[in-house]
Amino acid sequence: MSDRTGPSPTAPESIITATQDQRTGNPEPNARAVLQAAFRDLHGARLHGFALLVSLGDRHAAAAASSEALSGAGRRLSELRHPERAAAWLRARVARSLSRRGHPAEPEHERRETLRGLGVTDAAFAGLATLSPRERAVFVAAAIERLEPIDVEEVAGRDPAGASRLLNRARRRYLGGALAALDSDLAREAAWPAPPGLLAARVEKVASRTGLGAR
Amino acid sequence: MTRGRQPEAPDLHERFGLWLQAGAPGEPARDVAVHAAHCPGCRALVDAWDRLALIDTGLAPMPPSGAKASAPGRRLPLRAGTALAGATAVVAVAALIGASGPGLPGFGQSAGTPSSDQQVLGGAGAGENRPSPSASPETRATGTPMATPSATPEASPEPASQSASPDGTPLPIVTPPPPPPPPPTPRPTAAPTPTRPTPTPRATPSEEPSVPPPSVPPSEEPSVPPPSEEASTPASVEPSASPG
Repeated sequence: MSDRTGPSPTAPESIITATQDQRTGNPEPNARAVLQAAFRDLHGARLHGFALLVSLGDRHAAAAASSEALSGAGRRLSELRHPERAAAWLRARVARSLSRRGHPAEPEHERRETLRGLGVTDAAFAGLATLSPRERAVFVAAAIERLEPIDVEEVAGRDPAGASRLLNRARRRYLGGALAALDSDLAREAAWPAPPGLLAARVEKVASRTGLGAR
Repeated sequence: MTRGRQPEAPDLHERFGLWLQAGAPGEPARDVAVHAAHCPGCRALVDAWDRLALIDTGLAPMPPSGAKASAPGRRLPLRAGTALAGATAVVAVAALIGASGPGLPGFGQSAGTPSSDQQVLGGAGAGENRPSPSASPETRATGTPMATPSATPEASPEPASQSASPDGTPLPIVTPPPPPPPPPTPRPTAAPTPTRPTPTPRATPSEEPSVPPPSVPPSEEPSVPPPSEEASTPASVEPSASPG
């Protein structure tokens, strides 16, 4: 009836509280849906991109893994204490899911085409293809998404030393694979826009201090 | 890594490769940088590395929501009849949230305090490792959201995701008899009980409006409270703004 006495003074201070049912103190179903939608909007696309890279362009696997991770997180939003770590949590879940899968179902040319939409060149594809799914997950998290080391460890599911070893191995293998592809098919790569050359610029900058820079 | 390698500087080449494998931290040593600036092999490595900068995961589309992802637009028709079932579903979901899976950094207190959930949820969490099974039977029947309280359109997408998640598949289960949900929401928020002791100020005349005299004969004038006192209560009368 007229129970409506306003917000409870003991209500916890959280974003969810703002949308609580004032009579029962429970989060309103609609509020939960809104939060889940916001969370999904915030993380969905990049997580899907991550999953596409880790699955090496397997759209079905990537969609399933990222959707599963998002919905799993959506169910536990009320437990979210460190939003800045949510991306790593999601990626760890995706990585686990994808590493349990077998070989990609889609043919390579389709997967290659899918990843082209994310800016993956043929050389990069070849480099990524040399990695295991877990190595790819760690490599993508660190070298492409530039997550913090603590997050990379989370994605790797290992301690710092183990994650570092995994990442170093992934870098080495990626470089070997990409380099082989560059050797074999430079003509196709030439069709791509030149990379930004951040690393090249750094190297050149150091070399130029000696007056022996190449460019 | 054999491409265009300069034979006179193998260690520089190796060192540059090692520097890259370490993630290219800081700056390379000057001699290594000078070598890399001229070595075709090292430049190819740099090229391969720089191609990573072209990749942007943000260019991916949103993942298709499939069966699980709670298309927000669909969950509109929650009506009064289903409110009770919805509430129980919410409680069930809350129970599952508390009892589900391993705590991870972003979420919850990884292994820290399961206590509050356990206290609230009792044995609900103990039996089920997978969060879905208990909730899914109720929610499977998404076809009739408004008709029966068992539909609970609110929670339907979520459990579905768990039970049929791996492939995002066709929602096979349809008619599991909805197990009568636990007693309707223990309502732990029944805080108002302590308000009882307030009757002490009875003596003071100011409490009049809140405690209507019980001795009034019921049939005579039940619906006609003294108008002057009604008007005196500040909160309820103000908005009506009767011109008088």
